[in-house]
Amino acid sequence: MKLRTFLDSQSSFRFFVERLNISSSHARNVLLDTQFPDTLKEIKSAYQSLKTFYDQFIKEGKFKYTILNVQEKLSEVRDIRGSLSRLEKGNLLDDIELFEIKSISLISEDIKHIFNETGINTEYLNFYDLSPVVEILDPEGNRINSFYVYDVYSEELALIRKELKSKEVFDEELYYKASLIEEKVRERLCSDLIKYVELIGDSLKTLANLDLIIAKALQVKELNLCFPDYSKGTINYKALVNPEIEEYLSKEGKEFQPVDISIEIQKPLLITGANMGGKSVSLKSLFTAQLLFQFSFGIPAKNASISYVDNLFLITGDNQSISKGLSSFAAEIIAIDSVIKEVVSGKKILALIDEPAGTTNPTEGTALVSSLLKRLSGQCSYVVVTTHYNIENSDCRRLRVRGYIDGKMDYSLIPVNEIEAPREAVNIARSLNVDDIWISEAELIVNQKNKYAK
Amino acid sequence: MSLVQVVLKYRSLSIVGMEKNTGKTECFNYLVRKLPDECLNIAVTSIGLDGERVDSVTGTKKPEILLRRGMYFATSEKLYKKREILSEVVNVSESSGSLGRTITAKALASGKVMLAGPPATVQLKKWMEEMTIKFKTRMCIIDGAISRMSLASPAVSEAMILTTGAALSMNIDSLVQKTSRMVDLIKLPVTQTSSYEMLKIISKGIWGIICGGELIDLNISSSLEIEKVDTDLLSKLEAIFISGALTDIFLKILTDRIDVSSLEIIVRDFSRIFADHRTLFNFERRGGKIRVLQKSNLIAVCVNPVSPNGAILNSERLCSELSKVIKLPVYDIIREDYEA
Repeated sequence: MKLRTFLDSQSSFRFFVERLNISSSHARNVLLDTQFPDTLKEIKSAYQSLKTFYDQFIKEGKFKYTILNVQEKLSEVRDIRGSLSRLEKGNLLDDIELFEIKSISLISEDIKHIFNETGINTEYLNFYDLSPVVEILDPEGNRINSFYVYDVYSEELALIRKELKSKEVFDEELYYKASLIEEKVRERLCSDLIKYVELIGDSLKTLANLDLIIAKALQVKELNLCFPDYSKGTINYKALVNPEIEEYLSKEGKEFQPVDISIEIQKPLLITGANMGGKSVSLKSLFTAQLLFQFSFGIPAKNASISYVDNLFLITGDNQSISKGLSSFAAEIIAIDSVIKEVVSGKKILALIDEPAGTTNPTEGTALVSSLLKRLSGQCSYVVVTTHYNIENSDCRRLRVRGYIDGKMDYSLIPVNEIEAPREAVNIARSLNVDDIWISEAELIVNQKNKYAK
Repeated sequence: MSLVQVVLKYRSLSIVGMEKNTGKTECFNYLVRKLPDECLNIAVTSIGLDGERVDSVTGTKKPEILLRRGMYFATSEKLYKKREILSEVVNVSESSGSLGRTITAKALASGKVMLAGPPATVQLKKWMEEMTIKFKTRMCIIDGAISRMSLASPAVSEAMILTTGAALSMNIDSLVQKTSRMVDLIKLPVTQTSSYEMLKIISKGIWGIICGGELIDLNISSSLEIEKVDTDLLSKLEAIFISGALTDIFLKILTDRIDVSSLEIIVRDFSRIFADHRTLFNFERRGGKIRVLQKSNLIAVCVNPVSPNGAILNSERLCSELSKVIKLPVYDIIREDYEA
């Protein structure tokens, strides 16, 4: 699975990816083609570089111009993998392809030089020594980003060209002669360069990687993100936010309320609360944060301790798969089934299930949810389920959206001990200024039912 | 003042031909040849794919441009490989057009190339900026076909030369008339609307401007759909901005449905006007105005009195009659080159 497959997930992941200030489209493609990591080690080492770079160059803002300078150089980076593989296969490169190779080598050398000037240790960025390549392609030592078959490559060529230039009319014969010699020179250059193919390819990777590190580090500063700790057990977020929704709300003059949340392994988390309580937003934020962690971005929380997972799912009831001829209910049930299969197979996954069976009748819905919790508990996975049903089940930990307090919605999550009927729906409905008689009648019915229950 | 002296006063120039074989390439080559030695830091390109490549299929002469040492040029990857010039690559564009990426190179000796520059206006503008800033060129010359196939517009340049000639018509009167109509289009004044800055950013759709400069999206994607717009709304408008092409049908429907006596139609530049002369005339006679967002300064018209089948018009009479009508200097490049 590549990073690009997650862009269209129902999360804010796309927001983070699109907000990255990446300099070259090559680096962007490298990012989109990043594979979902197999091990925690990969994530750790990516964060290590990112954090070091952030601390060294971004945090205090002292190196603003250095970074701008580097970004300008990086914006000249082109994807030359095609030319490199042609070189490797023994094809003869033309001027344009040789120019590309020279260009990458010069950029790499220049950037290395810029970082050396700062006197800060940047060994972890893995710059390679491309000076031998530069030497081959810049025989006159001009260090200018341009290429042609220079006169110094061949004395004979220099002589012919001199003659060519002195002629009033274009001499096809001489031009042809010159082009034959140019061909030979290019052959020689290619055979000289062939041993550096791997080195140049690695340098290209280094440049793309640097581009991404700069973009991610700048994003950490811009969006006030944090670097996560690694956890093997509980996943824990302090003040988790969703910058995309936050930005949207601030345009309307509203504030986003950060959420503290933790998910234990083996013990599903059940979040209850009425509609409009921010449950879905919390799930989306959790999903986004986990994706950001897997691909080593900054995390939108005050602090976070996150565990590596093999896969992650966000299931919301609103994905109808018309193409398969399934109703939204059937599509949801099948999606949940695939989660169960993953969990039971022993994989460590994060499964976030929003209002399972939420569209069916309360009796069956309640049964389906509580049996799902039972099925998923005790497994080596992280499971969060939201519901507005009354679940009498002890196989899970419970949280509830605090809800309406003094006429204002409080989205924070608080632990629930006793099993209680959620009463929020009526309150929320009342706050929407709808027909008063209707809502009062509803309140009456709820109260009567509670009386019978007691 | 000679044509070259006039041209050198500008930072960018496009050469636009009324028709194939009206001497655009000759004009281009003439200018390049006549440039003083100290003014060779010039960049040349053409806009996108122009019709002339078809000529190489039908067998007529390929339009190659002669370049002198020190000049920069931009062409496609494919055509760069076919060059007959000693040159060094200085830049390779990131985006790839229909003919591959755009290669910018510097001529190290005189020689010939075929040009096929950036395919769209935005890229062309960016290229021109880059040439001035990064390579310190004093001027960009653009081979600008008024081709309906090209997405890039020659109007991005400061100055413009129009070439016309016997290929368009063998009758001097009709040639003068056709050319002067094109000159009228190129000379259309820039709009005075208060929404000018806003319109510059808009890239899609057709917009109405009501009193006070407020913009209304007419919610039609092309000028062919003008019938769908409510008549009441149309008659309220002070001006209409068309981001794409201005067509005959659009003008006809408009003049049929509303009183256009105080209406202004704004197009991006003259190359977006595809309406017939008669329709435009009809619209303007009723009081309607056509204005542009971007206008190039037409500095001269060059004529080629030789038609592709070898017939030759009276150059002197052609030049003087045309000059009288369009009130601009007219040059017969081919004769001038011969006489000089």
